[in-house]
Amino acid sequence: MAIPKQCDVVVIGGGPAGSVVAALLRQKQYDVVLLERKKHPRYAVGESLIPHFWKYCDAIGVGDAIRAEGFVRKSGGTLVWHNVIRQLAFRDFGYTEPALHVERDRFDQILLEHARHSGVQIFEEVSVSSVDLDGGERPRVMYRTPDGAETGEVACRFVVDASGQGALIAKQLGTRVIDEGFRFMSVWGYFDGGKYVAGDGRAYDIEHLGTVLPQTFVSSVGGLGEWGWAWHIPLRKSTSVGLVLPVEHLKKIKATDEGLREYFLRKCSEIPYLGRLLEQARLIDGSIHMVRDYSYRSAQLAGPGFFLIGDAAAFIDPIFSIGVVMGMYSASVAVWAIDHSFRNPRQTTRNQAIFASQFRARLEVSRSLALPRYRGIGEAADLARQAIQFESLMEQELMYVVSVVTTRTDNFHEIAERRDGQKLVSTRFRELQDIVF
Amino acid sequence: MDTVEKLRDFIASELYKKGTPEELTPDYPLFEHHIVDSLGLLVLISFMEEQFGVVFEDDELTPGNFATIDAMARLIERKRVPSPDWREEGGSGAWRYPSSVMWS
Repeated sequence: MAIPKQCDVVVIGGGPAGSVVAALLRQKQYDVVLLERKKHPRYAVGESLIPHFWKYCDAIGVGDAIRAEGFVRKSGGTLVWHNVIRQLAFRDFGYTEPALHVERDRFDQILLEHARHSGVQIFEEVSVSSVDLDGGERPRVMYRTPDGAETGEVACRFVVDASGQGALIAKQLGTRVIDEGFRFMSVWGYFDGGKYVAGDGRAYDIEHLGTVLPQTFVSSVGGLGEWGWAWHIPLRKSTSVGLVLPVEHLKKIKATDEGLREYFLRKCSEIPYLGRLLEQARLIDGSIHMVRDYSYRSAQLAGPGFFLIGDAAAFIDPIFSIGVVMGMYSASVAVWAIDHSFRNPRQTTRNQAIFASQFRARLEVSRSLALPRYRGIGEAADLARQAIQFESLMEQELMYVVSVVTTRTDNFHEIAERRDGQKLVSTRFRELQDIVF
Repeated sequence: MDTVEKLRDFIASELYKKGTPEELTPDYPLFEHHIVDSLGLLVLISFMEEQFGVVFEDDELTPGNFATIDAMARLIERKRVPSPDWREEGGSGAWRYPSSVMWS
C-alpha cells in the first residue's frame, strides 16, 4: 500500500498517544494517516500504568484485547520514602479493575494494531523529516524510508505530533525547553528472578506474580535529600528496576573507575528493601539504559495546523506512572478540538486554546506533585488549581495520598483546597512497620 | 423545556448512565461526585454550544461556571444576553443574535 498524498489528519508516531488519537479520529470518520519511525513491536520504557488508562482503552474498543493479553495486574503502590513505608491500593479510590505492568513493546503493538483495524492507514519504518505547517492552511508532512530510498509528503488539515521524546515539531519550532526544576538522569535495567512486594506488605518470590498481585515498589534514594528515587516494576519475564538521580551524579560516575553496570548494581543493592528484593535476582546482560536531561516541555502545545500530544509535548518526572495516561488524555482532548474545528473552522483558534490550556493544566498538576518543592505561582499554577477542581473528590484524595507517600503534601496544598477553604486530606493509605521477607 | 431541564436530561442520558435524572438536582456537584470528568466537560461544552447557540471562550471554562447544572444555566443566560444594539425593533421582545455571535 502506497502512502497517500493527502488525508484529513497525519499522526506522527505510533506510541499509545498516537494510536489513541488516530483510533478516536477514525471513530469520527476522519481519514487518518499514521507514520511510525520504527517497526512494532519495539522497545520502550515506562511499564507501570495507573488504572486511569482503562477508560481511554475502552473508549477506542481495545480494552478487551489488553485484558486478554495477560499482562501483570497490580493492586497499587508501596513507597519507602525516607525510611517510612506506605501503601496505597487503587480499589480504595473506586477503581474496580487492577492497574497493569506492561511490556511496552507488546502493549504499544496491541494499540497500534487496533488503530490499524479501526481503519487508520499506518505506515511503519517511515521517518518524518520535517513538517511544513504552511501557516495552518495546508500542512505537509515530509517523510523518508529508512534507507532514504523513498521520500514523499502527505498534505493534510491537521498534524498531530505524537513522536514521543523525539518531539519533532517542538524541536523544529524551537519551542522545546528543558525543565530546570528537574535536572535528572536515569539509569535502568532488567532483572531475572528475585522478589516483589504485594499489597499485604510481604515480599514474594517472582513465581507468585500470577496468584498474589504485586505492587509497584518505589523508594527514595538516601543521601540525596528530596532528590532521587528508584522504581521496581515486576513484569511477566523480568523486573524493570531504575534509578532517577540528580544529573550531577553522571559526572561522579564518569570520574570513577567503576563502570555504569557496577555503579547501578551497587546503588540498587544499597537501597533498603530494593536491595533485598534483588538479592537472588540477576541483571540481564545488555539490559542497562541511561538517559539524561529528560524533563522538558514545549512552550507551545498547539498552533496553526498542529497539536502536540503525549511526550512530544512534555515529559515530566515519571514517578507517578502518569506518562501513558497523559498521552491518552491529551489525545482525547486533541480529537475534541480537531473534530470541532472540522465542523466549525472559524472556531479553530478557540478550540486549540481550550486544548492547550486543559492539557497544560494537567501537566502542571503532575509537575507540582513530582517536584521536590513546588511554588504555586503564576498562570500555570492557576490552571492547575482549576484542573483539580474538575476532578472528583475521590480522585483529589488519590492525588493527596500520592503526595503523602512522597512527602509532597505541601506541593499538593499549593494547588488544592476544599470548597470550604480547609485543606483536603485523606486517610486512604497505610503505614507499615516493615516489609516481611 | 427550560435550560436546567435540558442540561439535566443531557447529562443523565449521555454522561450519568448509572443513575437517574432525579438525583441530578440543580445544585448537585457534578465533578466532585464524578458525574462529569474532564473529558465530560468537553462533551458538555459541545452540547451547550450547539443547543443554546452560545460560544464559550477558553477562560470561561472555570469550575465556578460548570460545577453544577445551576451554574451552567446561569452561564448560558449570561452569554445569551446581547448588547442593547441587537434588540429587534418593534418585535415581540425576543432577542435576535447575529450569526457572527453564534459562530465566531
